[in-house]
This record gives sequence, C-alpha cells and structure tokens, in this order.
Amino acid sequence: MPGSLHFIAAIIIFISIYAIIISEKINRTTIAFFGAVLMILLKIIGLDQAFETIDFHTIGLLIGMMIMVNILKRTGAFQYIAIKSAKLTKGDPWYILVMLSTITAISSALLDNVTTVLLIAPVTLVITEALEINPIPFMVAEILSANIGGTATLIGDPPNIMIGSETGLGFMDFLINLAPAAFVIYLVTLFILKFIYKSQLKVQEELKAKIMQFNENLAITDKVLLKKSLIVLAFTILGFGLHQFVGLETATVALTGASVLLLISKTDPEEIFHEIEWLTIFFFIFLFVLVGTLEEVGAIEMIAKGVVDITQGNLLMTALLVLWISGIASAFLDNIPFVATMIPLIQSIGALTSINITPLWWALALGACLGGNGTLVGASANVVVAGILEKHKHRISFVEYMKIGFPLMIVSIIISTVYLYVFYLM
Amino acid sequence: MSKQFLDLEKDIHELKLRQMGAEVEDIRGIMHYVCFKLDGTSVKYVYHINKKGKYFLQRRSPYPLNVGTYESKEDIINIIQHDLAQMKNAKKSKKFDKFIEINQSLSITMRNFEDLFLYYNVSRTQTEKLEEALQQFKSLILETRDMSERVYFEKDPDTL
Repeated sequence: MPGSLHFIAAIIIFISIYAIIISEKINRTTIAFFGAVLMILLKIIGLDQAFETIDFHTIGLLIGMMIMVNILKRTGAFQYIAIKSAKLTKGDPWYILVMLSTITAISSALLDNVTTVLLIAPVTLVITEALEINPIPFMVAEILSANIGGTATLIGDPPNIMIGSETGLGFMDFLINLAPAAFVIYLVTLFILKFIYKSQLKVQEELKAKIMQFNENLAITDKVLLKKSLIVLAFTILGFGLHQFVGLETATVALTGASVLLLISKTDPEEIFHEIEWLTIFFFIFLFVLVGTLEEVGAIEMIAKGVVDITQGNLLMTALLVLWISGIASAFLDNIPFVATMIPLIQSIGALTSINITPLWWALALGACLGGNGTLVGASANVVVAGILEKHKHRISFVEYMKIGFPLMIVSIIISTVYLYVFYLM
Repeated sequence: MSKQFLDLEKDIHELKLRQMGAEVEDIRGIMHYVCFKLDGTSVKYVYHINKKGKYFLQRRSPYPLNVGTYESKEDIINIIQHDLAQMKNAKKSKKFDKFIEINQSLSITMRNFEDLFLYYNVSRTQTEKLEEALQQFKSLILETRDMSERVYFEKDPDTL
C-alpha cells in the first residue's frame, strides 16, 4: 500500500539498485541479485511470490535462442556470409560497410544483438586490417544496424521479448507492426552514414585485391553441422511465424529448436551450456523480482495514475510520451530494467483508462530499442563494440560516438513518431 | 579480459589461421602456471588440462624447455615432481649457476642456428662444419657423463 513501510522500503531499494546499475560501479547482475534478495529478506515480497514474478517465457526464449546460436556459430556460417558478401563488392569499402551492416541488421532481427556484433566483429576487423582502413565507421554502422534490426521482431531485442511475453503479442504482430518502420529507419541511417563517412572510406586498388584473395569456403568448419543448424533454425523461424496460429508460446518454439539441435548436432552439451550468457539470464530473473515487488506494493499503479493525470488518458499524448521518454532514457540507461518497469506501468495505464494500449507497446518497443543507438552506453551491443575497438587500438570516445549516434537516434524517433501517428494515432 | 573478448580474439585468430590454410581445433581447458621457489631460484612450469586427453607441459624457468606431451593428468604431476627433485639436487652443486648459464646460452644458440638457416643461404661446407661441431659437442656430453658420478636414481635419464 502507498505510504506503508514496505512501500517506502521497496521504492528506496529499487531506486538505489537502479542508480547503482546506471553508475556501473558494481556488476549489474550482482547488484540486482542483492536488491532482489533484500526485497525477500525484508519480507516486502514472499519467496513464493518472488518466484511468481519471474517471466519464464522471456527466460525460456533467451536460453533457447542462445543454445541455437552457440551451436550455429561453431559452423563458421556467419564468417562465410560476411566474406562472400565482401567479395561481391570487389573490395569497395562503402559497399562492404553496407553489406556487413545489412547482415548485422538481418541477424539482429533473428538473434540477440550482442551475439550478432560478436559474430560480425572478427570478420570486420580482419577485412578492415586487410584494407588498411579505420574499422570505426564499419563498427559504428554495425552498432546502429544491430539496434535497428533488433527492433523489427519479437526475438530481436530483449525489450521486445519482454513486451511480447507480457502482452501476448506474437512474432507476426511485431514483424507486421515494427519491421516496416525499422526498414525505413535503416535506409535513412545508411543514407546519412554515407555522407558522414564517405571521405574515410577510400582505399588503394591493390588493397581491394586483398579482399578477393579471401576464401569464404575456408571459414566453414563443419558442413554437416551447418546443414543441421540451418534446417533447425529455418523450422524455428517458421515456428515463430506460426506460433500464434498453433497456440504455442515463442519460448516453446525456441526451446524446441534448441533441444532438437542439441540432440541431432551431437555437440558437447557441457560446452554449449557453458556458453550461455548466464549473467544476462540471471539479471533478467532478479530484475523481474525487483519490478514485481514494486508492482506488489502498489508503486507502479501510483506512477501510472500520475502519467494518466498528465496525459488525461489521451492516446496520442501517452504514446508520444512513451516513445520519446523511452528513446531518450534508453540512450543513457540500460533498456532492460527500463522496459521491465514500463511494462506493468503501461498495463496499469490500460486498466485505469479506456484507451487501446496496443500502440503504446509499439511506442515502447521503438523507443527502447532505437534509443539504444543514442550513446555508447545505450545498449549492450554498443558497449561490447566500444570495448572491441579499444582492445584493437581504435578507441571511440563517448562524445565522438554521440556526435553520430545521438542525431541518428533522434532521426529514428522522429520517423517512429510519424509512423505511429499515421498508422495508429491519427 | 571478459569471456566475450576472449572468444572474440579466438574467433579473429581462427579466421586468420583458416584463411592461411590451417585446420584449427578449439580445445577448451584450463591453463596452469606453476611456480616453486628453490633458495632464491624460481622454477616455473606451464601446462594445460583439457577434455581431449593431451597435456602439454613446458618448463619456463630457470631456462625454457618443452618437457613433452602426456596422455594423463597424473603424468604431469609426476614429471614436475621428478624435475623439481632433480633441480633441488642440482642446486646443491656449486656449479648450478654455471649449469643454468650454459643452458640459457644453449637456448640462445638454438635461436641463432634457426635464424641462420631462415635468413641466410648457408653453404654446404658451413653446414657440414656446424654438424661436425655439434657431433663434437654431443661426444663431449657423453664423455662427461662417463667421467661423472650419477647422483639421481629415482628415474633413468630420458636421453642419456
């Protein structure tokens, strides 16, 4: 109840944990774990209730996809596609950038963004080294493409996974409603990047020839495993497309694909399970407990009432508020805890008013996913790429990235505003 | 360095090596750095345990030596035990420092020899001279063995 000791304690713990997550002083999973345990220890939420707050659909979908990707990446398929694409451009840096960005965007729509950039980064670094060219334009383009591509589908980015799981919106709903916007934003982003980087993307002809010497076939490590992985992946994507019509959850589809691939691939399960990003999985679990506790004590409902007071239950105003706040906030904050907090908030707004909240989910997804492009700390993929660049002696500073990322993020949110207005709010 | 970056580096190395035509096998395992202190002398080893059942042991200090590849993890400890006991024994000798110095010099000579053949077109006559000098050196080792009292009996010498 608002005003009670539990209510105040829950708010203080939540804000403190959130602040520490933002400050990055302590590992985000460690501090979320501590916060969740504190909520249980102080009896703000019971242990059984805490377990009930965990969204196992999100967890199942994440684990299922991670298992499949970990098996697929052993085949060298991503490197094959990247090398083949680079050779198709005859070594032209701009077209290589377009090709690698497109591969990143498409892969990100189907896989986790961090996994995608980790798969594309090695090839990018080897190609830019061969071309004797700065990898920063390529890697920045890949960051932007990963976050834009991830926006397009339910499984592309954790915010979408959480929204899909909590709202019952399916894979096709996300694809139909978000992919067109993501596609337009991707094209506009590439167009702007061409102007930003065109002077830096010039190389001598003899260096271009080096790209043609790469042999994409040498990248394939296991043809049998590749065939098995691609077949299972294709059926899994088909399963995502049909899950609403056959009454299966996306998590069930992903876990089925993962278990079948693990069974037929004969890969060592110990190695595959070791590769799962358990820190991310447990971060989600503890976050669900933290937000669930906030919901339990009535804090989310109180904030929702405040939002409804401001917007007067006006859908257009609420949607634009959700879009822009999500966009700006996600540029600076971790979008996973932000979305985890926003989901029950939007559900409460729906319960307090008579408005159709479906457009609000699209506004949240567009804002949270695209907002990640705004700064170097906006999304996990950005942080990973910045780390990779630094380790390879091509440091990109926070400000240097923001000069490119933030205006492009604002452009993407403007396009999203127009898109939402024309198709859902007009 | 986080696991993510380690994996990335591994991927870059693998990509480059495969493009060079190599077959690369990725064996996950644990690298052990082992250090003993023998009256001010560091005796260091490095080895890698993994699920594949091949263990590479190398001594890094007081002079580097590829000890070998073993089929069992127990062999590694056994070899280190003997090597360390032999080092302790050798340490008692007044000539220990000289022994280390000669060994280090031999390691450098090996590198000199490698560079000679990798960077220069060495004539047949000079190659034969080098071989002859090596044979003389080998004979000197055998002659010294025959003239010296054996002091370690826990295991027989691997090469003499």
